[in-house]
Amino acid sequence: MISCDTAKNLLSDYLDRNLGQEQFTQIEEHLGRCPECRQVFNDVRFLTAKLRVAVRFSTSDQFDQNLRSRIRSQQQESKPIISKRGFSYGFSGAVVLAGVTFLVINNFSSAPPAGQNILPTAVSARQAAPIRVQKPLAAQAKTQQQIIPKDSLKDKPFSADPNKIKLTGQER
Amino acid sequence: MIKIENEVQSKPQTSDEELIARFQEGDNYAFDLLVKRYKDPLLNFVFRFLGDRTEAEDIVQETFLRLFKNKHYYKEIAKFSTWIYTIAGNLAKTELRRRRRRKIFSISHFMSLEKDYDIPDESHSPEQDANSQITDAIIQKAIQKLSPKFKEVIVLRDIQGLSYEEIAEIVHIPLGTVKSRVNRARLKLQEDLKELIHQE
Repeated sequence: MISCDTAKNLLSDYLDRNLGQEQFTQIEEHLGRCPECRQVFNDVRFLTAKLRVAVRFSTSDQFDQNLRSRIRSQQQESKPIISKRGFSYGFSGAVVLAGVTFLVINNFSSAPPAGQNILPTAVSARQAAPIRVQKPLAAQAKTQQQIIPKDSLKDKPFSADPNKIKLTGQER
Repeated sequence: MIKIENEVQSKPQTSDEELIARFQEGDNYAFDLLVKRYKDPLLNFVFRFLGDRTEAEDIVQETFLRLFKNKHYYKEIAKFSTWIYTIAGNLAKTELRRRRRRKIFSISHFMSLEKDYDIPDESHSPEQDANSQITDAIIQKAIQKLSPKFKEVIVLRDIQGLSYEEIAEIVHIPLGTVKSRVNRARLKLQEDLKELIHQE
């Protein structure tokens, strides 16, 4: 014997005839003994039949017309002010113009004063490198005086005869 | 264009999937046919969900507008009917959430509901019409009291007559959950409509 809760859980399957033979018989047996569940089952059967024939509404007469005008206005909204092709031409033109303007301005601003040679590329590159703070020339000279060249081998002042120095791989 | 029209007209059994395929290829007449097929079923579905006919019609229009705009999003892995019901259902749920935020569930809601039933159905006698409208209004009121998750499945199953499998696809929940929700919704409605049922 199944409980009322189990029977109610299987209500829709019973009404839709989606139950196996065994469960179907169990429900039938339960309904035969339980008037409360029988009432509920009958009510739901009546209700579902009622819902199936519930009042059906139709769309208003203006529905199609309104839909068409909404579609039309949406199409107009989605149309860009400038066409895609026009935009791409305009954009390309602007890029070319910007490029030309840049080159012209760059040439004028980097042109040297009359009478001077144009700096070679290497110098230009060096100029472009980050600026390093250098010591003033006087300070540099002082530092150079303090550094006395020494013979790296004998730790003596640099007095070796350059002719006697034999560099690696250098044949005389 | 005329040739296509004649072709479609001569085949009344053209499937929804065939029509959407034609529409995707640029045949707007196929769109018109889909609108003709689905505008009333969708209106009833959304109306039962929201309880306001004007809003329901607006949402159905929005559904078709989205179909028109996003026709290429439809892929033939799902039935067209489930796809269009999903769009309409999602829009209806959004509207319901919007309403809840604005807290406009009030007497005005039921007043507008009554107004919806003022439109006579010419296929019935006035007396029958009045009775069925009253019964329907009571049922609709009980449906409105259900939570959205129960409301959606009961409307799709018992009013729209869709299969459990179709509902599972539309609502994106497992088949077992659909069945249990339908069962619980029926029991809740039975509890609320006992008086009406016993009067009839």
